[in-house]
Amino acid sequence: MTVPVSWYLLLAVMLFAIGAAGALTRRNGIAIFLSIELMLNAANLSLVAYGRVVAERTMDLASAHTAQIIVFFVLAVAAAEAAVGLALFIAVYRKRRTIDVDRLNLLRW
Amino acid sequence: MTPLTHPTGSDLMQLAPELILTGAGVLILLVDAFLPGLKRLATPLALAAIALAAVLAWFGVPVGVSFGGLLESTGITAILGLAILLAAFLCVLASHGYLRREEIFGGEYHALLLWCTVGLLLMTRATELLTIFLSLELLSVCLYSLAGYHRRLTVATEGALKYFLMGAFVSAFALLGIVFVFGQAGTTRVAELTAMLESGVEIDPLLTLGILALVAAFGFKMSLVPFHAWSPDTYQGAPTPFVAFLSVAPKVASAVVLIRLLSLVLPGPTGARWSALVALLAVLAMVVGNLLALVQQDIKRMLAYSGIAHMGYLLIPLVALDESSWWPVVVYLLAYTLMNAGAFVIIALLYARAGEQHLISELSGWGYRFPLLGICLTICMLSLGGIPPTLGFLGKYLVFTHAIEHDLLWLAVVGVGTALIGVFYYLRVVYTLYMKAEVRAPEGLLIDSWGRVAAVIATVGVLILGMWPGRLLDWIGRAIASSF
Repeated sequence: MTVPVSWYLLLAVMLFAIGAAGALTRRNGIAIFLSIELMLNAANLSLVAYGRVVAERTMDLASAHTAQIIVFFVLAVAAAEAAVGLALFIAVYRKRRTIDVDRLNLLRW
Repeated sequence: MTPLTHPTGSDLMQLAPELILTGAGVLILLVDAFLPGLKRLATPLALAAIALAAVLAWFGVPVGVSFGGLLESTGITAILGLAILLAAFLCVLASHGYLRREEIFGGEYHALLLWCTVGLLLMTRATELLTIFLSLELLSVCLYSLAGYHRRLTVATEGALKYFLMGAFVSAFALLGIVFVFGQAGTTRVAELTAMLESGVEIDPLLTLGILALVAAFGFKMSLVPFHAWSPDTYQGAPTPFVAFLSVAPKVASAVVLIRLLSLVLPGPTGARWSALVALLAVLAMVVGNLLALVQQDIKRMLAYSGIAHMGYLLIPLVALDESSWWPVVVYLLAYTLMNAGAFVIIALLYARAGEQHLISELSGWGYRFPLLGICLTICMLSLGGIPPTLGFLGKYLVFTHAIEHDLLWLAVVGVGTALIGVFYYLRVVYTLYMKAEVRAPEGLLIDSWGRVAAVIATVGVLILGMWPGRLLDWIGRAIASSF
């Protein structure tokens, strides 16, 4: 018995929604960043699942490979973002002793 | 699917400007690390690299598709590439004095700026969604780091952190958009998507959702209204000469991608709804941007909101998107690049205490103390307000006539009305410069010749091209005609 592809897509959408909700409601900067990472990985999961769907639809395995290669690029991008993001967190923490986004309120319109 | 082939010599020639900039960035970093005594050389090195890249971008890059359809060079991408390089050039010129004054001179600043330019140049030419996403991330990561470059300042790191969190959030949505488009269309190439949509297949809601997510992501980079919250905060904290770059170059490249995305869906059966959406975004940006700019006391925040309004004007030709839309868009982007970068360059020279508020009232009477910079700032402000005979006027004129020719009189009326509000706050700066008594002694300023040159280049460009636009318009017209 195989798991239908639509289940993977459903799981990916749920993960993405959880990530988006977390990014919008969490106050700790690291937690927000983790939620964003969750969103990226949800997109990765759906990419792989979609690659399979498209490959079956077009009878062309190349589509599945395209999707899987995109995933590798996204992983690298997420790592680069993490490097810059964590550096920024450290820079803010050194000055303010907090990374709670509600307290980072020097700037307002 | 187009089969991928090995890159050929002409493919690499297409990448020549990007390769030069990347290499120069590495070189600058190495000089900074191993020959710290020579690190002041970063400015001339970066300037030379940008100039060389500009020459190559204009003369050396063959027009056409390369890398099996991942990149496409046209006359339009060449012109907008030059606009991006011009913004980088002005930014490097103005940064020299600023970085020395703040004692944060380092090669990584220039290297990151050059790499960011690489991302922007690639993004204007990318015709494949993954390539677009990767260049977007390349430039975003560089922008986040540069926005927080002045890390002794609390506002700088804080503004950068906000920009980073919102930017990463939005990139996740852009990625999801790409996933949906890929899942429904089975391809990530814009050309294949266009062919598919033109063949009249039914548009799946998920495909629409995917494109909508992508439009939102690029709307964020252009700081259109529901996604604009980052821009005033980030501008305030970021190094001012870098804001000259941040406030123009990413918007130029994002506008190109936005047009690519919209030209996928606008001719389709749901085109009318997309037009309405673009019109709504344009009106929101014009109204909100201008009204919020009106109440700002800080000149950087004022220009941030006015930049939002300018992107609203830029969207007007996209409501009725066809080949004739490129004309006003390209002229407007060029005008915006020159006048907005010019304004920020001058602000960088005239305000000494980075990280504190840059109140407009502090400029009182300085038009007489700094005659050259005063005149330059005045001309940039007049151009931003759209007053003839400047390039800003020409841009607005073309945008509004395009709207009227396409039966969008109401949109032109909204545009002119909000532009009048704009004139008020731009003129307030000029009024403060010349009509008020001095309140601040010029202390701690470092007005070097690099910065003066940048201010003069931008101002002369705005003025000369605005007074004698014939050649510029011919040039742009030929480039656009060759692109289709």
